[in-house]
Amino acid sequence: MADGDRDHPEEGTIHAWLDGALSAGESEAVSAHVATCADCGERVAEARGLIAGASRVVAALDDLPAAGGVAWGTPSPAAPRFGAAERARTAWRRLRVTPARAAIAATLLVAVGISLTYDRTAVDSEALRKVRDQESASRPTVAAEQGFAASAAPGAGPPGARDALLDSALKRNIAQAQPPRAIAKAPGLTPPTPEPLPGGGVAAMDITASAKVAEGRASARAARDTLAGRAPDLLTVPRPAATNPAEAPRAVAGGMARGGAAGLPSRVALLTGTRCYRVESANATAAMWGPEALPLVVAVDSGSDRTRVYTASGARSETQALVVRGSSDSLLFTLRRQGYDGTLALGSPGEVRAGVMRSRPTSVALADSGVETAAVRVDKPATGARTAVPQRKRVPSSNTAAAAAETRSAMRAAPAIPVVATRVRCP
Amino acid sequence: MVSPERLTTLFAEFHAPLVRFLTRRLGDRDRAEELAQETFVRAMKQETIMSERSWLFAVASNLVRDESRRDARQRARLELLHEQTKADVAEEPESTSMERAADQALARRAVEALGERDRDALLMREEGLSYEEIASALELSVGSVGTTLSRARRRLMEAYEELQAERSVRPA
Repeated sequence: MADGDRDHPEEGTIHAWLDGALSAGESEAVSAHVATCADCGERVAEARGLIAGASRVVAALDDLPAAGGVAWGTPSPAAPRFGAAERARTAWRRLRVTPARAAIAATLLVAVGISLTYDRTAVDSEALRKVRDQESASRPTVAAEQGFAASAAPGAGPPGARDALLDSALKRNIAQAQPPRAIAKAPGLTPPTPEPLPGGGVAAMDITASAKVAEGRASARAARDTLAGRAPDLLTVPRPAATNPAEAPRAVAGGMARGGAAGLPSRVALLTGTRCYRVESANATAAMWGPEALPLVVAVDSGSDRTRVYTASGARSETQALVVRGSSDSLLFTLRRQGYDGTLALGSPGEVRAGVMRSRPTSVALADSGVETAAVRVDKPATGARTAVPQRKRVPSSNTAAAAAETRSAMRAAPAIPVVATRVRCP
Repeated sequence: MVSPERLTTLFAEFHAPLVRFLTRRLGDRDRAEELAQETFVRAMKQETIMSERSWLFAVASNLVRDESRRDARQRARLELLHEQTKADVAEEPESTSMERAADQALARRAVEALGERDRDALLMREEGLSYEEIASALELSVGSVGTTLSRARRRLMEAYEELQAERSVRPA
């Protein structure tokens, strides 16, 4: 690799860094350099765009279901954009707007933007968890996931009548456009028939592919998460598409559908939009998360799942948030900062979401004990021995199924604050 | 011989990603399934396999390479016929579905603009292979995987945008 210590890193090194493929030392050297070098900051931003864009183009190679066909599922880091956009559009068409439904047309557009995130984030965490559970010979079902979704947003607040209609319509249409996932039996030694089995072989594809992808993405995220504190700000500089959170998902879906009816999709425009929520106490009391006073603003980039947290004044907060799972009903983040961790669970998707925030102080030992994901086994040619190669020193533990379960049980004990999250313009 | 249990696990874990990788590579799902099966047949004959995912993808990409060299022209003709047949039987004559097919065709052309190694590296990366696995599968040094991927991604996006530009100029 190029010595990124003092010199500007080469493009290949930047990509390796973003892909999480550099060693801890190399990675820190690059992030330290990028933190201070504006030119390289721009190169990194461009590389991010190329990585995300290439994922989408590759994903566009996949066939999607026509009526009654069978889907690949949503693969790839940042890949499902075309696929998710297509499914959302198919769902939208099948609604067959009637006078009765015309009234909720506008809110459905917002829900489509949210369901893009739903498909991807749900698949990643769900799928990875399923692969794990499958390997330990248990068989989670769709019902069990729904159970988790329910427990992930305890006290999420009564869904309004409009939300319920929205949710059920959306669920129905998404289920129509994409077959519900179920675990396939492990196939025997006989090769499969060429016809894909709906719900069977396809589900296996969904899960294993998404699991691999989630791993890949987790390592990329881990690389970014080891950055020195201020670096991420520099790296996110050119984001013209992200200024209006309400429009961004729709604009992106439209842009990708038509390949840019209003012009060419620039590399940056292929990045999906960012949604921002102001999270504040539901009781109009002054509430805190750990040492941090609410309200906080949580910005989620639906393209890359990167999340940033800001204080009410618009300054970057030291608290980090990571999307653990999203579904049509809920969005769950883990929150972390020095000495504290916690969760933020939001339910009833819409402009205003009810949710619960939890925090607990942690010991330093706990915070540093990263969970190592399934090690990539690398063949050492000389000895032929299997060696486990940990991908990184510290893993954001919310990105593995085992750690998610651990987080869940620990968090149940932590005190909960009812909160309200309102869609706002991003700072 | 790889044990039957191990093979079952390998199959459950890697068959789908392999088929998708091959389909993206070939543009032909049926052919992809055949090559995937061939890959697993070869796996069965191995004594043991270290770094299984890497090995499977290496074999698969080698099979693609061998085949494409052998039957290049014939496959191209068949693929063209296949594409045309698919277009003829398109079920929904709605603009979105045709757009989707157009997006797919554009993506295919953009991906085919890449060199073979760059394309393989990128498609493997999209299946979640690590740099070490990609290096092992394609017989590259780990250090050059980043360069390969950066070049592949850049060229892909350039090709794609160029094709987009052509499409928007030409009357639909």
